[in-house]
Amino acid sequence: MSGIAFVHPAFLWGLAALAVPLLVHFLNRRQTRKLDFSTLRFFSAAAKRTSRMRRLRRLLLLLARMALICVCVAIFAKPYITRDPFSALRNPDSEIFTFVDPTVSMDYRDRGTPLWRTAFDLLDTLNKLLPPAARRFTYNEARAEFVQEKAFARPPGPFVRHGAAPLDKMFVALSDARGGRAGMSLLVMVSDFQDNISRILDTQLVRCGNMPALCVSVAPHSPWNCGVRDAAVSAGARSVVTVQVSCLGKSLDSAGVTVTAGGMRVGHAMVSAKAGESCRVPVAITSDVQDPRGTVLLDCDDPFPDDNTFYFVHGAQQALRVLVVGEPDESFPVSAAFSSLGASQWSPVVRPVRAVTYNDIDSAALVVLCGVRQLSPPLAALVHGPSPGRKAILFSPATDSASAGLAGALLPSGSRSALAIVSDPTSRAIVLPDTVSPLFKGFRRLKDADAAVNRYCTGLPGGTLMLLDNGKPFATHLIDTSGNSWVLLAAYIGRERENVAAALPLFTTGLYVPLLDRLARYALSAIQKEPQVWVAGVPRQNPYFGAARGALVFDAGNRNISRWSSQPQVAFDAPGLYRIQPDGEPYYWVAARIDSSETVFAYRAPHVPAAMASRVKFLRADRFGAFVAARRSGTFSPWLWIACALLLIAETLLWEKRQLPAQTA
Amino acid sequence: MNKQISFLNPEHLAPIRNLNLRTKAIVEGTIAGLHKSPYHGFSAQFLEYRPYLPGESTRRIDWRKYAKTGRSVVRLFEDETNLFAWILLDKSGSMTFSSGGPMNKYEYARTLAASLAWILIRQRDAVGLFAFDSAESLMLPPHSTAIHLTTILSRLSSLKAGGTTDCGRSLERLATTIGKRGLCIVISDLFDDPQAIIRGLRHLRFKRQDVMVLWVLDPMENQFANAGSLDVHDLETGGSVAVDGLTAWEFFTSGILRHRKTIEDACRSLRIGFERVVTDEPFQKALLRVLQKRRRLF
Repeated sequence: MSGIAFVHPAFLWGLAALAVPLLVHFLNRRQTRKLDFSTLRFFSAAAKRTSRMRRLRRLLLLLARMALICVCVAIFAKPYITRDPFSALRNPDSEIFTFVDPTVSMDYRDRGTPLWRTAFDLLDTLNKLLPPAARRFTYNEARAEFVQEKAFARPPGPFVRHGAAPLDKMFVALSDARGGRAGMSLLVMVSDFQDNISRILDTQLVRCGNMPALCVSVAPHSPWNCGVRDAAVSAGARSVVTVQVSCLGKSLDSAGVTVTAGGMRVGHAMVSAKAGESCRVPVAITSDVQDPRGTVLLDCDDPFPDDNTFYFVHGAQQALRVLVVGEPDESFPVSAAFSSLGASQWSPVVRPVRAVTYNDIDSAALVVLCGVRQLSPPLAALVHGPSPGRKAILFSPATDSASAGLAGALLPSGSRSALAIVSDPTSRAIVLPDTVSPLFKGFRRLKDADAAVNRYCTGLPGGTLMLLDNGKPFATHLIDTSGNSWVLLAAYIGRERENVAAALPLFTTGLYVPLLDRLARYALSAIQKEPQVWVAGVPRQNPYFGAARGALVFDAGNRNISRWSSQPQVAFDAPGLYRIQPDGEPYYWVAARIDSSETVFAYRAPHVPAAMASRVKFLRADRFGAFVAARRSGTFSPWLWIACALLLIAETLLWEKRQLPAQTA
Repeated sequence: MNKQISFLNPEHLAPIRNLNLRTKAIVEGTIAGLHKSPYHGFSAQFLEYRPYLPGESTRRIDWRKYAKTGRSVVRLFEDETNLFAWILLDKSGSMTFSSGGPMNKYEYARTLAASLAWILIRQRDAVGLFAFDSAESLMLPPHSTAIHLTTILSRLSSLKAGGTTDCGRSLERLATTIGKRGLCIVISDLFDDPQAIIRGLRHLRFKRQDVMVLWVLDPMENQFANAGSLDVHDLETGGSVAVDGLTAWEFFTSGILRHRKTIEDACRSLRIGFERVVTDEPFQKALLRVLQKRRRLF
């Protein structure tokens, strides 16, 4: 890769002009004029010097002239060192790959011009400065590949979209486009290099391999932005919406905050905040609002208006899917208990062990193993094998005689415990170890008569959540090696198959439903699955994936925009309020908000590994043109001009003057 | 009265082969241009009338004659000879050099010598001629008769230049033969050892001679400008050297300036008149300069 190449190699034909000084030199050698003169008195010393000096002078003059021609040719041919990692900017055979950050932060209007438009203006500049024959590739996000074009064209209409930057796909496409070729190529990434982009590039830049990369930042010099970060209806009182307003870089002076519900204006407040501060603003709203759709609008003219509107839904929650594994006639109390907690809270489905599929497990947030005596392959994969995703599992062993000795095999991998079934003639009451713990906060105090068990298991692994009155653990919690959150119960929560003389079956007590609710939520909270927020452009697991049913998605204008059915992941393209209409069930609303990481406007250059430091250049936009132009003019241009000037001076000094200065005797 | 003087350039005079005619043209033009005549005839014996010429003093106009005839005439008187003048003419080979002008240095110097002889004899001075190179070749003792002028002119016409230069020794040789006080006019390019020349001049001064040196140069010698490679041949010795134009210019210019300074300084200290004459300047100008210098010095 090292060596010298030329931007315009055709000019090297100009070296043929070297023949001219050679010809002049040899012709001049023969041109000695005879002069009859009156005396040689004054020439004797000159003759001595002439023989040496003339030969030396003529030789130097020849060399100077030849060097001058070489330098002139080089000035036009523009030599450069191919070892320069950015020599692709000069090479007509090079491939230039361009990627413009399409994230919504590029919609920031710096002096009225969106950053993405500035980015394409830079590419226009690059287009003009590149050799015409250089191949130009632009990343096409829809096709997830680099497309060769005649010029780096700006797409019509808005360019940005919500969601993460497709850097991963871009690097894959880059690798595919290069196809292992060793030609000169260059990746030009134009972005604002927000912290979230740079964080990805910190680790992904190595995927460029040997390919040089030019990171051009169009980040504004002094960004400022105001926006609504969060809004929520205050707990217990629906008449106040608390709005969080933030100001970056500039203070906010008496801006209006308007809250609407279902399109109706229901509240208004004024807000002022200092630069760099974030404040919570309570907005009183009319108390009889029934529509769950809420919108907060900050009336502020800032360069990034996308985050001035915040969408939220109150009083509505998406139901969590519960997969109850067990015989239907035995486990129906479990599904009934979850159903009784509200369709908006839990959505239970019962499957016998052999009927459980992988999709059932994937689509469920909570899996209840109710009296399972053997494991089918999907269940075995969930319990012992590598799990595709973290699940909350509620485990309740069957304690009949047929299950004796089997329950231990059902415990999660790594627990190394063995369960032993105990048949106690004395009914054992359930007690709470700590009534002020977060798990049971607000839970009513248990009495002896609330619930009692005669058969239970011992040897439960994990931390104790509840006890029996004899000190044996009744409910424990552990996280297995796959990251699943297990709540293990010592007793059976379904309906007993055998006619066991139980003092008080659990499902018949008032403790049953709230206990299952608490334990299920505890298991979910341990893996942080409970609160789910939709962020525009960020895909999430399809709640109807594998559920053998689907849902229609409508936007705020009641237009059907998609259907969620078998796709593993779904996303909303833009922030807003969306109506989800499941098959055969009542609709509910979800709010998609803007990605908060796109609105912080914290910019930094990506960390470049030391091994790549010479091949990755980070530039601000205002220096990009000069950088490329400097590469276009060749590596040695200033030195060539200096050499040209020096050689011209040398030529003048060495030249045998035809007009000697007049000086009379 | 303000008649414009038209100088005769060498190129105009070069076609005139007859030295007598050429000299007459020069001398008459020169005398006519003099504002103040350097020679005054105050002899008591009347010689003749001649027309008044513009530039002459009006004191010498014969007003009686003017009143009778209406013509302005000047009376000329027979004057006694009171000066012995020697004209020393260098006729070495170097004097034959010409860079392309109508006259070479020798031709110019010979014409200048003839003109001076004419002028001097016209004012009744005795003029002698000494033409020299490394060996004496002609020596005519001074006389003031018209026939002697004719002799000088005819000998000058037939005299050919050649041989090597030995200016210093020639001057010394003449100095040894001169007995009477007088004027020596040296016409030469002085391309010889300057110390030898100075020795000769000093010897002449020692012999109570007023000396005037006319340094005759070709325009190329006066202002050397030859670029490129040169193969320079010596007209006296036939030797040659190869020189580079620029180097030759540097050495020649500095050398000839040094040469001139040496001789000129010596002349100044010896009260010798020194005048540089370039062969492309009109004769009258050269003669006028010589005559005016002569009047200032002596």
